[in-house]
Amino acid sequence: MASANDFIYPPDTRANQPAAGSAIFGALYCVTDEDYIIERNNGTSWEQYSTTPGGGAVTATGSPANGNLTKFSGATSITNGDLTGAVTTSGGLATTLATGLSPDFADISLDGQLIQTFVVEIVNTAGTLQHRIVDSTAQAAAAGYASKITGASSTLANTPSVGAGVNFTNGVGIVPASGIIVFNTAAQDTAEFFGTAIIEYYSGNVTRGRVYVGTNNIDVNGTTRVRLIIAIVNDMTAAAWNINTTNLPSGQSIWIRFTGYLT
Amino acid sequence: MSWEKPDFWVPISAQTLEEKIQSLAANQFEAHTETSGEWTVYYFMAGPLNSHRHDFAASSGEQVFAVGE
Repeated sequence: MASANDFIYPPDTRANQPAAGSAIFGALYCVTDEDYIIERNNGTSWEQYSTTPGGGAVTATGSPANGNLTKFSGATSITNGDLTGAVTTSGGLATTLATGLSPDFADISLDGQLIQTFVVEIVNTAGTLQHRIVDSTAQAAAAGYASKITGASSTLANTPSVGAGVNFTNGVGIVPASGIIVFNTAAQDTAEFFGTAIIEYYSGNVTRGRVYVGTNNIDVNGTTRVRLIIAIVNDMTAAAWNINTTNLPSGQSIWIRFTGYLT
Repeated sequence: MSWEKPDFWVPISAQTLEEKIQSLAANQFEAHTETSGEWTVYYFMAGPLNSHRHDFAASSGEQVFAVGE
């Protein structure tokens, strides 16, 4: 049976709320035009009885349609929108890679390694071995994807026999008797090595070679580091293909392409 | 723009220059010359389709320089 202490007025507006002094002591009143807050009459005033409803009203603006993405159009308003930039949408949830912003080839990386491709030429220039790093055997222009070879140059330079006291020249050196070309790279991660090499051109007519590629811990000018190496071996016996003026007679050259990822 | 001698080229004798030309000739490479400013540049064409020029020596007056001795 209802008592004065549990009397509940019908929900109504603030304007229609009875004055506290005239209302039943202890009665509850739901204010419909103030987020339906519930108040209690303490005999002299209406005191808050329910918690304040959270948030505020967020209203739709513009002309959003079914299936559109939502974006804020103001602090408390939303409207429809599309993604822009590298990935775009058009009125729905399907995404499209923007062709004008598709990934730049120079930025394609793998575990922090950058994709590289270039050709190293070693030529016997009238008795002296020289080398350069170029884009292709056909063009011999500057390589666009050899940024991980420190000092790489498309200009011919005398090829050093690198070792503990001999540094690279233009990013390259050789260990002649081992048939190894060493590149001036940062320390490579052997476990994540990702690359291949091929002899694209050889005019020496002395010994047919083949290459394998990988990394090796080599001391060059006092710095021992895991570096990119290309080894040339006799195609039939796998003996070292000496990088010298015998296998590369005067005027003859060998061009080897590397493609892979380098740190 | 006139030709510039690379820093790492070294002085050689006229006889050594002739030996270099002969070593190229032994492998069917013909040495050509080009005049550029004060320099007479010696070069040969090699590589794929013989399309790549390789400078190997240059002379200026009595001085001769080459990529190696």
